[in-house]
Amino acid sequence: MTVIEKLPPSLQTLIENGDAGEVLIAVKTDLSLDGAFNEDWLVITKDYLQIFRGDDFSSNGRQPTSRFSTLISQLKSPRIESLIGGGALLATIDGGTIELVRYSNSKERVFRRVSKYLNDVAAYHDALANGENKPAPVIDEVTDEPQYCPRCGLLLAEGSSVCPGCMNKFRVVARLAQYLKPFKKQIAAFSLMLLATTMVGLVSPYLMRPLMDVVLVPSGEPLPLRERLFWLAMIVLGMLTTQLAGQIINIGQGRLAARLSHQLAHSLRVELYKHLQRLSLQFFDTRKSGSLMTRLTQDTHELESVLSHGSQYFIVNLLTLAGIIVVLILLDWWLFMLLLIPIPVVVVLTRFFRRRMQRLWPRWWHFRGRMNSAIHDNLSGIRVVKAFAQESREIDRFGPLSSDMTEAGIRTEQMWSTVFPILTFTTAIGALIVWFVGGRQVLTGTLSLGTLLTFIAFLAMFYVPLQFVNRFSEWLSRALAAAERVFEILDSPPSVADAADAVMIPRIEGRVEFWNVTFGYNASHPVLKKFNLSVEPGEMIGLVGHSGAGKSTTINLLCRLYDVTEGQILIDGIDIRKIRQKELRSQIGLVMQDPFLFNGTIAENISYSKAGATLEEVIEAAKAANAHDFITAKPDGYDTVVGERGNALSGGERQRISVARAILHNPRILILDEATSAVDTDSEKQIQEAITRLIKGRTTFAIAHRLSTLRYADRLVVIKAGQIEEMGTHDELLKKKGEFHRLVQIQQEMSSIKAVGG
Amino acid sequence: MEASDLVRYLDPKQLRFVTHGANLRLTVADEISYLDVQVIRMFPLSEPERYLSVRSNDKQEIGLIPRVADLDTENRRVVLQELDRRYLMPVVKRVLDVRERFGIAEWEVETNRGRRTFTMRNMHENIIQISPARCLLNDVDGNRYDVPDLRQLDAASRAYLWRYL
Repeated sequence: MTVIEKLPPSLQTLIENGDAGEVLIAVKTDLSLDGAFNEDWLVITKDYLQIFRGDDFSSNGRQPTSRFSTLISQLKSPRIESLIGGGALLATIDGGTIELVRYSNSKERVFRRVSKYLNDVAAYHDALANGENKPAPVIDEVTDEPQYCPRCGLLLAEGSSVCPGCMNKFRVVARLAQYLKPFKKQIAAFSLMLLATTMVGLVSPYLMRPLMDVVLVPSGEPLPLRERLFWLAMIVLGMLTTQLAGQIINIGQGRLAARLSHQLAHSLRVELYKHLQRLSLQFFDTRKSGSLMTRLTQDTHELESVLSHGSQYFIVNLLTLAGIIVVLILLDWWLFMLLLIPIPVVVVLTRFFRRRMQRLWPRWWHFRGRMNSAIHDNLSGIRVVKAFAQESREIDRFGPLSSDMTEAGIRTEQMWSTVFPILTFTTAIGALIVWFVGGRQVLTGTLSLGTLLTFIAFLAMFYVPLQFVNRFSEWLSRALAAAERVFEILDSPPSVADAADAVMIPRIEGRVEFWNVTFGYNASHPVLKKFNLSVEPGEMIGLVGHSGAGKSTTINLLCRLYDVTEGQILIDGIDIRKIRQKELRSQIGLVMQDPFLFNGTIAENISYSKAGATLEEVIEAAKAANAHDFITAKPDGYDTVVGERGNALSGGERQRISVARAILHNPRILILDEATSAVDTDSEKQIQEAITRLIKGRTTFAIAHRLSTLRYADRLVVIKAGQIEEMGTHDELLKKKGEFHRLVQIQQEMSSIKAVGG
Repeated sequence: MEASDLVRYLDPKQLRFVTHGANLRLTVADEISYLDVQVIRMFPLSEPERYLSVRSNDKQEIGLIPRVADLDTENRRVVLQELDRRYLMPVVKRVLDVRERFGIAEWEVETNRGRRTFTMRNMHENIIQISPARCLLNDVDGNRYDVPDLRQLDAASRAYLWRYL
C-alpha cells in the first residue's frame, strides 16, 4: 500500500492546476464520515491538506469537490482514534477537535503512517517556530503490507510473490508430483506392472470371438467335432493362462502399491511435522491444535490414498480405456460410434455433480475437524468440567457438533449414492443401443455372433474405466482440498526467520538492552511502548506490574518468540535479530510457572535441554535443584515416567525438575516466569534455594506475582501500560512510596484478607 | 456485597449528550461535565443497545447505561450516532457473489453501509457461526461483517454462505 495512490483523472487535473504543489500523500479512505462505504481522498502536499468527496468522481463525471482544506501548519496534534473495526484520523484546528477521515481496518496501516507523518510535520513546524533546526520529515517506507497479484488481484500468501492463479493452473498437481519424485524407481516398476495388467485384461475377452465363431456357433462350414473340442480346450487354457498371469501381476502390483503409498504418507507427515516445529508461535496463536492434528494425520492420509490408489486406478483405467477404444474400433467402428451417444450426457452430468461434490467434501472435513477440536478441548479440560459439574452442558454442546458433521456426512454420501446410479443408467443405455443394433446385424447375417459378444464383453470393460476416470475427478478434488490444507501449513513462513547475515555468539556475556522497543501482538494495539531497559551481565532484574502490563511480553521478545515492531533488543551489543536463533535460545533458560514435561522419564525430562548429558550430570543437576531426594524416593527413581504433561508428579516436583533442566542447560540468560507461584510453602523454600543456586553468575529476569520473592533482585522494574514506571532496588522503591509501594500494599491487604478468611 | 456498590448505573434522565466536533460531551445531572467521553458496548454482539459503559477520555468508567431505549429522543439519537461511528460492523443484506480461487475468496456483498468487496482466506476459520442463525465474516484486513439472521437472507445469498457453514 503506497502513500501515493493513483488519483482519478479529474482529481489529478484539479490538483495539477491548483497551486498546492507536489503531491506527497494521496490516499483514499473506504468510508465517508457518515460511516457508509465510500472513497474520500486525502491529499497532502507540502503546505496543504485537502479532502475530496469520493462519490463525485466514481462514475457520474461530476467535478471533484473539496470537502475540507487547510494549511498543514494549522493542524495541531493529528492523531488516530482507534474504533472497533476501523479508525478515524483526528486533528485539532482552532482549538476544536475534528474528524478528518474515517476508514475501516483495511486502511488502518496506511492511515497510521499518514498520522505519523503529519505528527512529524507538526513537530517540524513547532521546531521552526522556536528557531530550531530540524530535518524535514520523510514518509516511512514500509514493505510488510499484504500483497495482491498485480495481474489478477488475488491475495498472495505472506512473503510470497507467486500467484497460484497466474503462475500455473496445475500448480497443486505439479507440486504433488514433487512428492512422488523420490520414488521414481518404484513408480517405473509399478507403471510397467500396470501396463502388463492392462494388456492381459484385454486379451481375455478377445478370445471370446474364436470361441463363438469357430468352436461353439460356427458361422460357415463347421470343423469336425474332435477339432472343435481341441480348440475349446485350447481357448479355455488360454483364458486360464491370462487369468493366472493377470492375478500374479496383480499381487505384485498391490504389494508395491502398499509400500509406495505408506512411504509417501510417511515422508509427507515427517515434512509437515518438521515444518510445524519451525513455525512461529504467532502461527499457533491463531489455530486450534485439534485442527492441526487433523491436518497432520487425516489430510496426509487423504493425500496419500489419492496419490497412490487414485493414481494407480487412474493409470490402469486410462490405459485400459485407450486399449479398449482401439479394439472396439477394430471390431466394428459403426457400433463403436453408437456407444458414444450417451457420453455427452455423462460428461455434463459429471461436471454438474462434481461441482457439488467439491463443496460437500471440504464441508464435511471442516465439521469433522471442529468436532475433533471440541473433543480435544474437552478431554484436556475435563477437570474443570467436573469441578463445575458441567458434564451435561458439555454433552449438550457436543450434540450439535456431532449432528452437524452427521448432516454434512449424510448429504455428501447421499449425493454420492445418487450420482452413481444415474451415471450407471446413462451409460447402460449405450449398451442397450449396441444390443439392439448389433442384434439386428447378427439376424441379417452382416455381423457374426462372436464379434457381437466380444463387443459386448469389451463394452462392459469400456464403461467401468470411464466411470473410474469420472470418479478420479472426485478423488482429485478431495486430494487437492487436502493438499491445499497441507500446503497451507508448509507455506506459512516461520515469521521469525534467521537473518541471512546472522552471527554466532558461542558465549553470551549477558548484557541485555531494550532500545525504544514497541510491540503488540496485534499491530494496532501495542503492549510495549518505547520500552527502554539496560541490564548488566549477571544482574538479576525483577519485573513487576499488573497482569497485561507487558512483563511476559518483555520475556517473549527477549526469547525472540516474536519480533519487535519498532526499536531494538541488543544482547552483548548485537541486535537479537542478527543472532542465530539456535545460538540465542540455547543460551537462554526458562523456568515457568507450569513447566511443560514430556511424557517420558524424569531423567529424559531433565536432560531435554542438553542432548547426550551423562547420568552424572543429570544427578548433579537434580541435586542442585533440590530434586534428587524426592526422585530417589520414587520406586522407579530417575526412570519414573512422568505421564502426559507430567501429571504423575506434584506441582512442586515438576517445578524442581524444570529447575534441574535449566541448571543442566547452563544458560547465560535465565528467565524465571512465576517460577514459585504454583507450589506450597514447603516446596517453595526448596525451590527458592535451588533458584538461588541457579541464578548465580547469570543475567536473570524474574517475574513473580508474590513481590516478596523478588527481594533479592538487584533491581526491580515496575512496568505500567507497556512502559517503565519506576526502577530501583526493593528497599529504594519501598521508600519512594510510588507504584511499587502501592502494589506491595495491595498484596499485603490481600494476604491479610486471606489470613482472616482462612 | 451489593452489586450497586461496585457498578454505577447512570440515571438516563440525568444525562445530556452533545456532540462537539469529533468529541462527545456529557453532562450528568447538570453538575458534572465531561468534555470527551466514549460510549462502549459491553455486549457488542448479543446486546448492542443495552449495557453501555460510558468512559472519560482517560478510560475511567463514569457509569453504565442499562438501556439506550431509556434515554430521551435527542440523547438517544446522539448516543446511537456515536455507537454507529465507533462500531463498524456492516450488516450483510445480500451476498452478490463469492469467487473462490486457490482457497481465497473474493466476496461482493450489499450491506447496510453500502456495497463492498472483500477478501477472505481460510473460509472455515473466518466464517464464524455464533448461533445457529447468525454468523460473522472476517476478511483478511480484520474487518467483520455481520449476518444477523441467515433465515432472513434470500436463497442465493444463503446458498453462498451454506457452502461454508
